[in-house]
Amino acid sequence: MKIFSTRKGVFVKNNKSYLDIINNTLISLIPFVILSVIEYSILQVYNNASTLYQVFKPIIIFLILIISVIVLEKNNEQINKNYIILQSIIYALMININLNIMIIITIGILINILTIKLNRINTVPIGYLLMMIITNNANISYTNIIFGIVSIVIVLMSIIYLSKYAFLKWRIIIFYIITIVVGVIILYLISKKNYIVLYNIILYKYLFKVLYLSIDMPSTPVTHKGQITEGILLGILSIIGIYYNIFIKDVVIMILLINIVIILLKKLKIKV
Amino acid sequence: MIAKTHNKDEGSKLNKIESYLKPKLIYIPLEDENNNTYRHIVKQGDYIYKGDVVAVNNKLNLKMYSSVSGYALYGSNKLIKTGKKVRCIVIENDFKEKVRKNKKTITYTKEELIKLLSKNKIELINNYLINDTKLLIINISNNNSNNNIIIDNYTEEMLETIDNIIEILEISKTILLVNNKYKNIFKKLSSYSKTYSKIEIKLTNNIYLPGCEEKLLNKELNMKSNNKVAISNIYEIHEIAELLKTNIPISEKIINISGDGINNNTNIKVKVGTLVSEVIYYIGGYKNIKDPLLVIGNLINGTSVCSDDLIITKDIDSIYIVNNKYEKNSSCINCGKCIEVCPSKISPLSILEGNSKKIEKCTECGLCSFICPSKIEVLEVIKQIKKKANI
Repeated sequence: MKIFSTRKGVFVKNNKSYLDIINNTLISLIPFVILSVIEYSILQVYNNASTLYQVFKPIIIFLILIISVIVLEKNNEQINKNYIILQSIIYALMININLNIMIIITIGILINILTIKLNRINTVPIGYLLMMIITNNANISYTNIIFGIVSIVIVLMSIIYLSKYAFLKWRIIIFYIITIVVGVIILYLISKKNYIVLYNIILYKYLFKVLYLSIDMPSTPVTHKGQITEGILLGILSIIGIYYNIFIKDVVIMILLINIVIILLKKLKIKV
Repeated sequence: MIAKTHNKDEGSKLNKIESYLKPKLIYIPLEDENNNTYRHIVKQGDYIYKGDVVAVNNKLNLKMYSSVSGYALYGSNKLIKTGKKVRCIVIENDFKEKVRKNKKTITYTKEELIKLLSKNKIELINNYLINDTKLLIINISNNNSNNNIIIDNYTEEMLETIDNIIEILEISKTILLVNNKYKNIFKKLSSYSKTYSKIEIKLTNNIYLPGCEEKLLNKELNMKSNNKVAISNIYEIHEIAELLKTNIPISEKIINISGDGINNNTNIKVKVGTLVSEVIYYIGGYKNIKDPLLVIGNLINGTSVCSDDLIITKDIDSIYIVNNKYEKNSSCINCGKCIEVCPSKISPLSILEGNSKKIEKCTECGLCSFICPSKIEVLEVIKQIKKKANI
């Protein structure tokens, strides 16, 4: 007779762990980081419009944010460090690099602390909102069409990579784009104005932010219906913002608004 | 349904079935996995025929049968599938396989067959098979190796049994749902299609575990579940085949013993009531692995048992000896994978958050626990909630 230890639960688990998902998501961001460094460092040097500080500025921002995570997270086993690093990189990719580096880093560290404290809340939009309040403009705007096209290619590559190796709530992106396209057509038919929003939307600043939303699991809906609704709502808000030219046209602010709506729906025990 | 399978033909990997049909002692537990207790009706020294009733539960009209002929010995305490140690009757096998003279093959009417199945606790088929069943589906999509081994070794017998069942129960059509991975099984079954015209063989890319019957009907036949469709599996057909052939309850069982901790992964035919320790010793014993677990059933929703001093009852199909790879869980990340895989279309996530609406629909398949990237034992939490709420 042989004695065995016993335990409850499942005896075989899916290979894909939370850590793998986060790590693969981090890998998917590498092209964006490279693109950002090229745009703000290498190209600046090429155009003779840069100091040495300006060249290394994006790298300094990434490094300081990541080091801050490691220091802040030193004794915290509850939250995954890589998740906070992910949030930091996304934040660094979204902000306006021309701002004062101290403001960028202070808000970055602040959102890291918030992420640790408010485990399941998406904190990047909060930092982004603060940035907007302080500077009155936090957008990255690509003047160069080539960068726009490169970023679209990278976003598409990321979508494929994330679908295969990580986790992507792709319904949000698809329904967001569909709503925008339909909305722009309707706007054109109503006002006969030539909105060049499609160009803006498919550029880095919009699509990357929606991609970011769809990889952010804690604050997005879990059901298919919820994800579709979120994509459509984002699209509608974008269209309203574009039409009235108000601040909510920025996707990150809309993400923040939608997150609040989702938290409220959850409080009302509505399955989203 | 849990996953799409690849098109690669894996049927050729099938093993042959070994036999261990002459154990010295047979153990009949006086309690079953549903905690029903039985009163023994044989005394020490009584001669028992194969198929004789040795214990009864008068309240629920349940019976325990002997799988061999021989003499009743002293009582003993052994483990059963649930991991509980229970009292049991021990029968010393005389290896003569004697059956009572009245136990001969008879022809059944529809009512008699339904009664017979019910009497022998052939549950799934009996749950579905009511008087006006028009379609019988035999689900072989589950990639449990036993399914394919039984079909591979007993093809004609299985088809003949299915043909008998549909004739007796006046069922107009039967569909055998075979997984795309096992194309040689499909070919073998298809070669009999002219002989058995009422039996249709269908290939599927999907795997349907027990509890996914509704999904099977929706996806494969575009039907909603209704009382006119019966869904069974190959184990039950195998059991019915033996029942119809010998007119005595199931006395032998094909089980699969495998895992990292076993020297020879084997499919073996054993007598119901044999001890697991004996069978494992017979097939070559254990491998020396660190912290092994003995799991009864499948690795997703099976039970881990503390010892191999365990009786093989007729509801045990597989035994695994595996490494105890416990993974520490982290907090829920709201990915929603558990909702995506749930065959009952409920939200395990909202159950974890305290909203236990529709919890009674949970079939305890364990897919939510399997898929969870945060390694949360979702099923265990659901089981606890169900237990508290007496569901």
